[in-house]
Amino acid sequence: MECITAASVITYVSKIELDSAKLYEQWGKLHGQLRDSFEAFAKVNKKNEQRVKRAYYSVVSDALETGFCFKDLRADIVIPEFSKGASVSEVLNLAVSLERQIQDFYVKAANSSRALLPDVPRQMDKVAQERAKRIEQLQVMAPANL
Amino acid sequence: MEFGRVKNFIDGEWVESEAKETWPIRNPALDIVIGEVPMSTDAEVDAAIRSARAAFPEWRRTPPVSRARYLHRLVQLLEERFEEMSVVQTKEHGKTIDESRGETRRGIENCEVAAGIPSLMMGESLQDIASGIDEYVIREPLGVCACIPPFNFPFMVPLWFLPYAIATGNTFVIKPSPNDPISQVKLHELIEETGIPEGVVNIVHGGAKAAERLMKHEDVKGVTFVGSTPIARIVYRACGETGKRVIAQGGAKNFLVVMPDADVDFTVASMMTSFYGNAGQRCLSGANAIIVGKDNAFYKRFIEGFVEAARKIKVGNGLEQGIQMGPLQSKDKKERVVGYIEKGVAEGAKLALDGRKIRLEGNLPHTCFLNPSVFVDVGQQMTIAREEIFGPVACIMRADHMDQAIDMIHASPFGNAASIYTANGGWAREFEFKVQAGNIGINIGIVAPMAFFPFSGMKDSFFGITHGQGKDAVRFFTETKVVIRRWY
Repeated sequence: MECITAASVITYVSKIELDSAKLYEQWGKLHGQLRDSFEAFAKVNKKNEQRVKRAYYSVVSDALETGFCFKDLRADIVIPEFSKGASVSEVLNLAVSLERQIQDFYVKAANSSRALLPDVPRQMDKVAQERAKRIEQLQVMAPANL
Repeated sequence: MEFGRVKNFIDGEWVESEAKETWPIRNPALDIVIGEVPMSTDAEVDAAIRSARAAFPEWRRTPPVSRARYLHRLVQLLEERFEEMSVVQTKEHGKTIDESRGETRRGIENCEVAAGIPSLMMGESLQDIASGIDEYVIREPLGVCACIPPFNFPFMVPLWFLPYAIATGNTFVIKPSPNDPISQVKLHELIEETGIPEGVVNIVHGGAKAAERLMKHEDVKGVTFVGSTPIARIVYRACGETGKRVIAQGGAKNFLVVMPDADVDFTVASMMTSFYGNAGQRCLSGANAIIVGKDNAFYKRFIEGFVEAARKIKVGNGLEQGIQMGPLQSKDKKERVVGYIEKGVAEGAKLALDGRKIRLEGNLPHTCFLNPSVFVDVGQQMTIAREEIFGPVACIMRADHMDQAIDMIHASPFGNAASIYTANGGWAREFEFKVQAGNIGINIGIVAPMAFFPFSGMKDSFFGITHGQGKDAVRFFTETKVVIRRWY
């Protein structure tokens, strides 16, 4: 699905952040050694959902191009199914792959809308930067390093 | 009917009108009746005015800081019900949910600004205008004020006025548009929830007859109107004859000038909102785009980009998150726009995109829908270039240089808004300096002033002196009293 309007992007961001937060919580419960980090990720995801939404709801206005502000943006992030049988390294691989997709979505969204809806891309840039750090963190968490 | 028959709100009570005549309130996207609005009787209009008049002395004595607290509470309630208020607008008007949220936000911003009334309403003073004598100015409310808003922003436009009117100590009567009055009913339910005293705000539903009664009633001291230019003239004249203050905002025909150095991609995206946002039903919508310069390649590139972007616009039920343009507000309004498209074709403009060929997202009745239309090679004398269409129709014209474009703008009797797209600060400044329009955009397609600035307008787009919103609204709703004081 292609996202063009601000309403559709915000709804999608909300879903992605909350669904992935839930997944981190489930993974954290599954593997004790991941719990602290993954619970922290889930908390940040929920905060991000609020931050992006707040940016949108506090600037949304007819002077901004909310109906036309995103371009070439596909809502096709695949959130993996939770599986109780996944090992630590499988979970970490799935998490890295998910985070790369989410980061990519935020970067594309921010770039396509920078001139038209400035406050929202600014928040998206921040989240994308956080996601880049999270990917590094996840890579360091490989079983050998835990 | 989802919303039933709407009631009047008079003297703090929701009362059923005794009127026999009613209008259906329709959801234009689904083409279904969602409510019914009574054409209130003269006696009911008078009762609303009487209620406001009775509430005035006590409300005037309520300190500004206390009056402001009702607005603070209203802001809280509106934030809590933000989505509910926005959805109602989409249902009764047809605009997209993004547009309704924008409208809700702008309405709230006006309440926030008016809540600063203790500062905004301060007078002036000078000690020792002569030795031992001081002079000062006090701002006093007028009394009962009335509001006659349009259908195109059923929630927001009344809030250009209402918060300032009551914050300054006036009492208020509103007659919402009979096309989409539910937003105002919902707003007033929240105002009631703030605990505001009975009679300070009142709603009386109706059509032209109720509006006329408000305009001519001797107890109404100020009237605000937003609508078409012919009706704005009538309101201005009627209020003048009865000695009332008036803000009468009329129609528009807004020009967007594209200079040869403009970024085509950015400009086209911005113009889509301007021409097709709210299905073109706003007084700040782009109507005529003038492409400046003799560069045919630039002109061609712009037209191709514009037509392609307009063709891609997703039209449908505004409640769907991905929809970019909703229906016209009613079948009549659609037919009026179709009439203009036919006239444009008959007068020889080239219809590069015909919005009469309906393509919708989802299975919806076509009753009120049009897709975007684009006319190119439009002549300045053509009807579509001169008259307000109030629909999703873009007219694209050419000018050799900026001064010629400005002359074309000035040939229009309207002066609501005008925009320029350019990277050149010199051109932008010249444009800002020369163009006679109340709201000027520089790389902005919808020049909608924020709540702390006046919503301006010139020529046939505005009749009055001060405008809605911000300090202008405070000036409108207050009389200045000068006091010169000496003590023995």
